[in-house]
Amino acid sequence: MIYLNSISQGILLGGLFALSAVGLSLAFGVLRIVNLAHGDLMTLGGYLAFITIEHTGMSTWYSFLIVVPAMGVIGYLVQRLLLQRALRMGELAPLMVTFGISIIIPNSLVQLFTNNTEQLPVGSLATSSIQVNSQISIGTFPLVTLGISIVMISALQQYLARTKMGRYMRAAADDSEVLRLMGVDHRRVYGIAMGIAFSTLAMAGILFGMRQGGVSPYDGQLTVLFAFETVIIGGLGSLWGTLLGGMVLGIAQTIAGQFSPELPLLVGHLVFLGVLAFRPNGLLGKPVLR
Amino acid sequence: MSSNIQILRSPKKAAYGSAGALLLFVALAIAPKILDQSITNEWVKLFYLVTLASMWNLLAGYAGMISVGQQAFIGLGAYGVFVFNDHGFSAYESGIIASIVVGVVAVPISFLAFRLRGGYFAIGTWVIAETLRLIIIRFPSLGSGKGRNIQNYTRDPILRNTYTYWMALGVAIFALSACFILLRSRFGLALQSIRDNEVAANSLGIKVDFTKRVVYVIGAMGCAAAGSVICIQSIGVASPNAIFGVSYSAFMIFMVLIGGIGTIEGPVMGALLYFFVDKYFSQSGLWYLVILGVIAIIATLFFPKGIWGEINARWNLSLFPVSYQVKIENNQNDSIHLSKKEK
Amino acid sequence: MSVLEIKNLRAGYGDLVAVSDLSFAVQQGELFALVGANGAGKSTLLKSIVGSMSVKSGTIIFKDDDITTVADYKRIQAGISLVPEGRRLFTSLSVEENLLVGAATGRKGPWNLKSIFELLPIVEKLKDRNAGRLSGGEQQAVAIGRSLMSNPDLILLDEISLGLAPIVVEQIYAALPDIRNEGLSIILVEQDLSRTLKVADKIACLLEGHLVLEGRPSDLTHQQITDAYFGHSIASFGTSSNGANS
Repeated sequence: MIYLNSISQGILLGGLFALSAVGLSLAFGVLRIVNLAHGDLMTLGGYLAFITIEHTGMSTWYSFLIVVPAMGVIGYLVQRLLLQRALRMGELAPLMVTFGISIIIPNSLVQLFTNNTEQLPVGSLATSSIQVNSQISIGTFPLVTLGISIVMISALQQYLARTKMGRYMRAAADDSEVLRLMGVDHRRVYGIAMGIAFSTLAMAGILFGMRQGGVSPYDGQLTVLFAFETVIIGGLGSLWGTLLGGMVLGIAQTIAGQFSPELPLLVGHLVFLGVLAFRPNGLLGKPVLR
Repeated sequence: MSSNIQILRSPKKAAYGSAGALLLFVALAIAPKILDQSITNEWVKLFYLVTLASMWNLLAGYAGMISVGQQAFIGLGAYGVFVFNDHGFSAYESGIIASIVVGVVAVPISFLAFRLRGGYFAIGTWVIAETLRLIIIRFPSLGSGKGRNIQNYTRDPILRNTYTYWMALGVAIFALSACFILLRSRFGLALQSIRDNEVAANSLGIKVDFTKRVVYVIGAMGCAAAGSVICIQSIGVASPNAIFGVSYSAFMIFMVLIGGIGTIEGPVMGALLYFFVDKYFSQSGLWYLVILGVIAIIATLFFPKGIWGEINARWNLSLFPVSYQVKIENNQNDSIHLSKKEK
Repeated sequence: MSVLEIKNLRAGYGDLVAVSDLSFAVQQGELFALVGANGAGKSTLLKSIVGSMSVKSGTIIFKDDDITTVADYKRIQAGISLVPEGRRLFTSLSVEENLLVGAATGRKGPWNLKSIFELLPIVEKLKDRNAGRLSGGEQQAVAIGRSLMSNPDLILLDEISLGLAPIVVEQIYAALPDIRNEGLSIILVEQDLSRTLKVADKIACLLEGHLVLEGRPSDLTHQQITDAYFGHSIASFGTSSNGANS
């Protein structure tokens, strides 16, 4: 029964992992960019929420309305101004640029805000929970997080499948040069895809901060690994796989936490390495090279 | 049409380069007997930076493997010193044994890491480094999460510093020579064809995975040797988080990018530059790291060949050429018409 | 009225000059065939026209506008379309989605899903199929449909019969008159001389990057064309840059 509780907690945590991985998956799927700064950008999202709260006094939930679009714009600009140029230079350059960003963000945050954790209050949801039975209780906030993740993943799936821009994104992933021959500037498509990726990771960053009680500068070094493991466990190129991957990782971590508070990270990594060894295409993925 | 095509390698200046390098190594080897130890002690850091930069360059610049997880091997090399030191070997012997053992350990690790390509390989290596750190800190004999000291070390500080210096220098020379010899061999050609196009290399009969694995293992051994030098210099590891820290990858990438990726000389230049930057600016807080990040981005986008690449492009001054140069003397002034197959 | 006018074009990769001193014009509604052996510079010329390759010198005028330095995707929006060699469909999209991406310019004209399906019935049959799972001929039909969806004024067809079964090629050529009836100009690049001569209003022959022959198929003898194609009797090719320009 105690495991049932862990599993339900793990599923809820997995929702958050999945949301944080969606942007990584999208950026790779459409642009073939692996964003090494993914985790640090999540942290940046958390800090932007903190700044918004500090300056306006609004609740953390409302800060989404400002931070998520703002990060979308930042993503568009980073793509158009930095990464687009790097993409023309080969495989190494985009990685190096995102790695540079991953050094800049946390160290700037320490200088600007100190090493301390900055609060991102959850509000009344923090303490409320649904008691399923005597052993299992489900926190309202983690449940809301899972709900947001599922909604976001479905929305993105529909966007890619049904809208004009979603079609262009998939076409760009196939052959961006031919997309230009259809009269579409693929750079704009890339920019918008990166904008969406940044928006989703900002959402994940704020929710992660809320869950942890706040954000601190080096959180990204951990969250980038979670996001990445989620994508690989689920399988590249499958958004629902990403959700599954998040849940597998979440469950592995919460069950390991039952044994020792030091174990969740290690067991999470080992589950990832196990998947890599025995199911290299992930649980739901298609075989993908490169 | 009278074109005269020559294929050259090792022009005369390369001979000067090798002779100069030999002289330099000898001079560096006797330096601790001549110069004040406070100076030569600092050079230990320079030497392990050169080692690390060369190893990262070997992986990324020649085999196209971008790793942000080489700290795994730095950490293992450092902790390996404790293991063998506790079994009665001197710290220096322990470092050498540890490096070899890490090379062996890197073989199974490479099978996992090679499941991933490109950017995913990069983060995969990072996960592997984190996993190893989390495993190491579960051993109380290795100090758990708090680090530990070397038990048996040379007590005389002058002797200890001199030995450490020699070891660091030896490791650096070994790393550089290994790169040079490796890249000048047929193996080096195979490697560069893999970097340029893995699929094409495969169809030419090059054993892609094997070739990459050899490089990966050498890279691991080099980083382990550097890690053991770092450990020996400070007679222990203060924090597992630092020795397994991703910031080592940041420094390696910075040095290679700034110096010039894909050359022997570039990483050495990068290491020198970083050595001085670190010496004079590391006290100015983390803004210094921020600026390193900014420079890395600018270098990537605007000076992708790095310092050495720019110098080389201007004066064609390769001291340690590992590639062939084709020299075409075309006596015809007319433009060459496209006769290759159109795509 | 000419739809496309090329003046003194010089283009190539790096130091290699693939076409030089090239001038010709394509009239509205004309089917202009460009023939030449492998390496004659046909693909370079097409790339220069759509802008996926920048020219070294010369001018490209499309419908009275100088487009020499205009970005490729803007040329498509202005009404040029290319059916690329090798078809290059978006393989993870369905056939219908490929056509919809083709309509990205939003240009008005006779072509839409319905009229494409009428022109190429096979495309309608395949519309829900994944474009990565088509035969070469099916792909070619979709690629032509996709290009027409942008309602171009000028369409460039690059080696549309290459690697396809003869019967499929017949079907595709059979559709060309219907495409032209909509007032569209076509530049047809082919290696297959005899087939091209049957459909073309005008034929131009490229050799080693130079235009060596231009005229109406009816005005040219078979000997003239084959000579131009294979480069016989042109003693000085490759060394001087004016060649036997028409």
